[in-house]
Amino acid sequence: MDALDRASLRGWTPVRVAVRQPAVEWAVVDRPFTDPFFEQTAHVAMQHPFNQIFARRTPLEILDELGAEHFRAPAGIIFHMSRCGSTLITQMLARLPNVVALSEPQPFDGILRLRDRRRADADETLVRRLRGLMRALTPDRAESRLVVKLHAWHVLELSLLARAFPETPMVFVFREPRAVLRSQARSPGAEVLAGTIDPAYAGIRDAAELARSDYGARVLAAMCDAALRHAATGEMIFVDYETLPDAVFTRVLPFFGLPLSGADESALREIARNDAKREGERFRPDAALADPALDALAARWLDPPYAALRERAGQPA
Amino acid sequence: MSSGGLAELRRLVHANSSLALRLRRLPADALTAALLRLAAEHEIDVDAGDLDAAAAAGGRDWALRWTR
Repeated sequence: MDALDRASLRGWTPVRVAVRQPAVEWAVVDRPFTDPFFEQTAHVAMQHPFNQIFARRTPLEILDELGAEHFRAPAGIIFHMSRCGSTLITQMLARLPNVVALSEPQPFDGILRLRDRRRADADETLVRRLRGLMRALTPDRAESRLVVKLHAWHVLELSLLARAFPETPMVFVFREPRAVLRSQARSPGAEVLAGTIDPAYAGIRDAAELARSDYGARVLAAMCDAALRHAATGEMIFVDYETLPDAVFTRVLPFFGLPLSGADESALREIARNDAKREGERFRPDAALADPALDALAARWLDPPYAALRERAGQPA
Repeated sequence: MSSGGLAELRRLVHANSSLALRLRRLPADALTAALLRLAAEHEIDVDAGDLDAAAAAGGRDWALRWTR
């Protein structure tokens, strides 16, 4: 493993945080992070023989040092309940000049997975490391602003992330729950599969006895509840999928303090016509086929938080 | 293979971020030639086979982590 040499890491990007044998892996990434997900760009960078030969591993303590440095706070952090347009928002922001928008960077997940919830005193270290990671991902150019969309389950760590980035505006993106459940039933994301997170984090004590769809609905409900709990104390706005893409212009950009020119707006609206997760494909809305079992799960677990989220978003009940 | 030479070359590149960025910008085929020149300048014992093997091992390691 490399020695802790802060100066020599200029120009290197943390592409992964290993959890089993904790370490930060660094590569030189020389293309913009405009792929739908951070890992795709990192993966391409790792195909170059330079990174295959020289990729570095440092102890996590390098992040302590970075976390103590002063740096520009990110323009915004995006949380979401999955399948709700958050990737589209990130893709739109990534096209703005002077904005680097990272979509679900694995290193944040790696750091959060190292959290020991039995030890509150360890959270101080974690907060410092989250800041160190953000520092390492922040572009050096003074005019550049950073936006980070986190993994869906990271909203369960919202209080910790708000402690790490108290000066950063945060957004929670949500969607009508039946549409989310249908999408997850068709092609489940990691966030709704048992084993991705400790179910206790989502307040689920009987995970082993639950059917996959029940477990998924309850995890989604826990994510919405976590965002709503934070709303009472923190600076956060709520964005409904229904209001996209207009809400990017009317709410997200002003809230993040990111300027927009007329030329930018038409380019961003064009992105909204494409499928945010499949390059080169036009966006096609999901078919809204009724599914009584999913409807029942939505009614039981997700309709109450959805109504509260809509209220927070300033939409009629 | 000269693992000592490779470790020395890595130390050299890791210690100099502008050198690292310059090397990263080279196309893959030009990288080997540049690294061999660099190694010769610093009297580091590395040959093209060492570099190929290191790249293959690095690619394999990343692929294993990527798929997990």
